[in-house]
Amino acid sequence: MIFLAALLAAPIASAQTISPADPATASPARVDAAIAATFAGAAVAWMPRVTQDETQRLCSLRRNEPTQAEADSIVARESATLVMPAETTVLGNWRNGEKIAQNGQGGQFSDAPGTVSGGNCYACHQMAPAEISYGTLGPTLAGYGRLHDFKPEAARAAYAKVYNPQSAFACSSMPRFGHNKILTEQQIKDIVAYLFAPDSPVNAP
Amino acid sequence: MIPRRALLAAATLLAARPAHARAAPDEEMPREPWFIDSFLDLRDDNATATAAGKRLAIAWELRGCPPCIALHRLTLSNPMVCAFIQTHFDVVALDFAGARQVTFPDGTTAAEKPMARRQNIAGPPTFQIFDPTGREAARIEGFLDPVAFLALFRAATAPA
Repeated sequence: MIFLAALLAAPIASAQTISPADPATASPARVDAAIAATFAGAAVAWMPRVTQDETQRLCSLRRNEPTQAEADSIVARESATLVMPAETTVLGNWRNGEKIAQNGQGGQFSDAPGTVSGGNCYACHQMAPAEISYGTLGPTLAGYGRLHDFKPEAARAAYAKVYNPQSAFACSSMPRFGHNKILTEQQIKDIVAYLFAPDSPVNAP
Repeated sequence: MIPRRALLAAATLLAARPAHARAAPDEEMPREPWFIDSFLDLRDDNATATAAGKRLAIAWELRGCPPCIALHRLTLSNPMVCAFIQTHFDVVALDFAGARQVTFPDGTTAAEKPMARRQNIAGPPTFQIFDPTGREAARIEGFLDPVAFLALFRAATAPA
């Protein structure tokens, strides 16, 4: 949302000749007003994506650096929204998971109808050690399942982190893939299998 | 010093997070038993280390982080590594994503996450080693095998 505010700051500045670099003028109220004005004519279906929930509001307000009490409240609230699979195993098909991890499609207003979203995991994480193209915003996940001893409870924790990273790390930069319905339960299971299957390339030595 | 640590341990128990704070399966922060319990005023810890002829090191960690787990399991568990570090360093662990207030050896104070950003910590695990004046003397980043890791800690103890 801060990113969105930055995008919106330029047109505001030209219209009202206020420097966008001056943090004093970028009050939450100003940002809210700018967003409301910008998306006034947008499709109703888009509105949930430009309306902040309490967690986003807090993280924007604190620039992703919440106080301990705020961080605890975020983790508690986001944990309460977790929808875990009914079955004990959260491991799907790692081959599908690999494709989802490599797929950066989806989430765009310009998407063709029926576009299936990917996880775009490699944009931020190293996963399979053999893959040479990956981002470093998030920690490396190479050897993830192996280093977690392939424990089922660790796989469930990984499912929870993909479903809603803020249930583990308050104001995490990672999208809430399940919570925001970017990925389906089966897609998240496939990604967890990519992390946890002993024969997945992620766990190659 | 021992009563202070005992007091801190008791306080930590009392301050334990309520169970409802985590519906998700919990993950332990990787930790060595010989890491130092700290009130997170690292000026004190640096003075204590210096008085004992040691140096202060900070270990930046993250729950569930694979290279952190690997470092603990394959490197810090090595008898030569942990013997050398314990003899020459006091190690305080910080949470890369944490929100506890910490005062650094140079006197600056911030919560852990903004402090990690301010210190340009690339990611967990990272070790920062300080000199007695509170200046960072060395930085060790990412997973390293015992030989490489130990060599960097040895180098950090050599006289300037």
